[in-house]
Amino acid sequence: MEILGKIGFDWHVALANLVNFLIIFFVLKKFAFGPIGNMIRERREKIEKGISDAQVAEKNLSVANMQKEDIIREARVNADKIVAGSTADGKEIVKNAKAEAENEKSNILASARAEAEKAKQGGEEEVRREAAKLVTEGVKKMVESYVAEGKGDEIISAMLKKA
Amino acid sequence: MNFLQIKGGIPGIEPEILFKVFGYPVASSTLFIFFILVMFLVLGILFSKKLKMIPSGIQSVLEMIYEAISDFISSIVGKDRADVVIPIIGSLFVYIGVSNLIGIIPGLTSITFGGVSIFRVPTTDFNTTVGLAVASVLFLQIVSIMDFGVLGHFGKFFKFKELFLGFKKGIGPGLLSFIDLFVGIIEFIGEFARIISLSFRLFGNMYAHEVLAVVIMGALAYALPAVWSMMGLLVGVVQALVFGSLIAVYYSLSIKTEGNHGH
Repeated sequence: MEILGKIGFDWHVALANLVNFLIIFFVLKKFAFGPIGNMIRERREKIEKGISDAQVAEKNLSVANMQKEDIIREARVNADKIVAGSTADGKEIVKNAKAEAENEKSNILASARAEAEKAKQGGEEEVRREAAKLVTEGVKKMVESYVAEGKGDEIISAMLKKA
Repeated sequence: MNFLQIKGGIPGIEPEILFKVFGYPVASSTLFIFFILVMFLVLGILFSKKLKMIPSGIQSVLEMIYEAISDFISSIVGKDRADVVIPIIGSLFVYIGVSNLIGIIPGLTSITFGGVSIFRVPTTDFNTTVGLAVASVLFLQIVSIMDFGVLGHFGKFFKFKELFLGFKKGIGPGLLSFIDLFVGIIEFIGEFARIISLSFRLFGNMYAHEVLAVVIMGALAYALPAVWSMMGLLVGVVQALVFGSLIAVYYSLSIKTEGNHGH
C-alpha cells in the first residue's frame, strides 16, 4: 500500500473513476455500440436477403426463360400444324364448294331444261288447242256460211262419206 | 525562462483534488472523465436518433470504426464471441483512446481552479488506470464464472481434485499434480496481478509522455513539442489498442474453447 500511495493511489478517486467508466460503458453500449451494431447486423441481413432473393429471382428467370422457349417452340409447332390443317381444310372446302357448285349447276340446268321442256310442251299443247279452236271456229264459220248459202247438206254428206 | 524555452513544473504523480462533495474528494481526472461522459452522452443521444439504413457522413465514419474494432476483436476471440465483448472492449478502447487524445487539445489542461488544473488527462492518473484494470479483471472473472460455473472457475486454479486423483494413481502422478496445484495458485495470483500490469503499463506510458512533454517544452518550446504531440497521438491510440487487445486475449483465455475446458 505504501508503494501504491507513492504513485498517488487514492481508493476514493479510483472508485469514482471506476464508477464513471462503468457509466461510460453503459452510455456507449446504449447509444453507440448497441445501435450501430444492430444497424450493421440489420443491414447485413437485408443485403444477404437481397442477394438470396436476387439469386432466387435469377434462377426463376432462367426457369421462366426456359419455359418461355418451350412455350414458343410448342406454339410454333402448333401454329405450323394449324396452318397446315387450315390449308388442307381450305382446299377441302374449296373442293367441296366446287363440287357443290357443280352439283347445283347441274341441278339448275336440269331443272331449267325440265321447265323449258314443260313450257315447250305446254306451248305446243296451247298452240294445238288454239289451232283446234281456230280450225273449229273456221270450220264453224265455213259451215255457217255454207249453211247460209244452202250448201249444208252437201258438206254433211261429204263428211259422212269421209267418216 | 527565455524566448525559446517554457519551463513548467513536472506534473505531480498524485491525484489533484479540486474540491470535496459530502467529504468525498473530486480529483481533476475524475472531472475530466465526467466531462468525457457528458460528451459521450450528448453525442450518443443525438447520434443514435439519426441512424439510417443507408449511412452517410459521420455515420459512415463511426460504422467504419465499429467494423474495425469488431474485426480486431473477432480475430482474437472468434466471431461467435465477438458480439458479446464488443461493447466492453470497444468501450475500453474508445474511452482510453479519447482520454489519451483529448489532452492534446491546446489549453484544455491549462484551465486551473485554485492553482490546480481542472482537467487532467485521466490516464495520467494512476487511479483511473487502476479503476479500468479492476473493472476489466472483474469482467473477466464474471465471464469465466458464467462459462465454467463457480466451482469450475475456481477449480481451474485450485486443483485439489487432481491432487487427490494423482496420489491415488501413484507417487509420480501425485507429485506432478502437486506441482499443478502450485502452478494453479500462481495463476490465481496472476489473475489479480493483471490489475497491476494493466494499470501500470497504461499509467506509466501516459504519465511519462506528459512528463516528457513538459521537459521538451523546457528545452525548446517551438516545433519539437508539435512533433511530440504527434507522437502523443500515436502513443494514445497504441496504448488504447494494447489495453483493449490484452483484455480480448485474457477474455479468450477465460472462456470455454476447444482447448480450454478448465480441467
